[in-house]
Amino acid sequence: MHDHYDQDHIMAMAEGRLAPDALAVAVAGAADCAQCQAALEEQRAALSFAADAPRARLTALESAGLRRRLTHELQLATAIEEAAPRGFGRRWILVTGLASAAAVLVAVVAIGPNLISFGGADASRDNVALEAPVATAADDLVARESAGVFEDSAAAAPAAPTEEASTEDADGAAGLELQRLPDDPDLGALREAFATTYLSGSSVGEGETVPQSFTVDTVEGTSPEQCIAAKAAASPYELETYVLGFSEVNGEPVFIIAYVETSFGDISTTVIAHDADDCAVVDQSGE
Amino acid sequence: MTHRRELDAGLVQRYVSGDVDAFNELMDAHEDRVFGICLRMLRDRDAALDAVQETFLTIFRKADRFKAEAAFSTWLYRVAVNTCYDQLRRTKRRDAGPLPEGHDPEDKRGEDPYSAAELRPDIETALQRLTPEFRAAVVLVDLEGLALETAADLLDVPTGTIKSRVFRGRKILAGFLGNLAPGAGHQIVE
Repeated sequence: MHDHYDQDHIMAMAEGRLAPDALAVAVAGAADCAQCQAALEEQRAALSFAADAPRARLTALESAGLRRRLTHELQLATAIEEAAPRGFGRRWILVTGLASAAAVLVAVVAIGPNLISFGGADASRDNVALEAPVATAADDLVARESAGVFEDSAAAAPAAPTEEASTEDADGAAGLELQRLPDDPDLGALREAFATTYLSGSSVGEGETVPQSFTVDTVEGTSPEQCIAAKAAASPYELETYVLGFSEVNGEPVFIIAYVETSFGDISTTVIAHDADDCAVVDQSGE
Repeated sequence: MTHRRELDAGLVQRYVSGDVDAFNELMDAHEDRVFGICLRMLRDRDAALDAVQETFLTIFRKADRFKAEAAFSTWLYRVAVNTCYDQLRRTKRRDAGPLPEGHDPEDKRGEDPYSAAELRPDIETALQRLTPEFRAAVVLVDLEGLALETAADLLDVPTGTIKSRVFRGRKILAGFLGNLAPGAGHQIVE
């Protein structure tokens, strides 16, 4: 008598991945186990159907039509992009456009105007305000901004007033603003609000995808840029990165970061600690 | 790096540099497979064609962001699957809405989206019995022949999850296709 074969073993048998000797032993074993035998037959049957399934192909007419439409759309997109003034090509967040959804609006007002981009792939993408410094970490962030760490900071939407003082740049225009979030921010709500605002923006147009999953990480890092750089380097795909705000976890200043894998539309929200020693992920949870 | 992967990376670079031939070569290499994935995910030929168009539009618009560390095909198929998920969600939402008064649903029984492609309606119908997640796993691994690891990568789930989805998906398919009873052939059992 033997134990039931596990899923891996049955799949290996069905797919012929076992060496002949091992397969013979396994098949003999399965014959003593009705459950294993049934599972093996199911796997083999489904594989046999799959092997019989013809490959789907486009007809020549469909292929030609597809390429014609693609060429047209791509030329159109390029023409629009070239015609658009820099900085106004792909507004990604439309805070004012969410007025009809009251519940969403509340969440967006909490974070929406306070998003900044950390230099994703699209340099023409608009940024919104980073509020005045209210903590050491924010001081540093603003200092970095002044030093040109962040990309073009032309405000796309007016920043919501907060109790902290605003900064003004040399031209008297509103400076970058970063909103301090509650010490124990509701990450789920933040994540949802960010995704909603991102997806409601015109940058997520037809043909792009909606996020499949969200992840909240807690990452320790020497600086937001280093953590973001590490995260981006770890991904084979292009990331856009936004700071949603900053807060504290166990007394440590942290930044709440949202990543968008622009190729796929996947969005993740990450908490990074500013003063820690490295960028290791110390906590990760699903949606 | 495999030959195809290397070739694709070069083609993407050429496309970004404005080489129109690279566009056609990428389409030649991948359009049928993307179409196959979309058709089996969506079942409707027109919807699949729309999804293929959306997929390639997304890819070509963002081609300059592609990093060659990843396989182009993985990126492409992932966008295709996500586009299909998106379409399925939209269809589900649309279908959930009330029909306008006096609306008679179109009788599509006479239309067979697979006949043009000479596919097997029984297999395709059986695939639709799977949830989109299971369907994607079975389509990618068993019908498109991708490795479990590749499928896991492009669906952004652990390999164990894909393995489990394929295993359970096959079980459902086999049961639905009714081939377990001796002599049952490939008849659909409902």
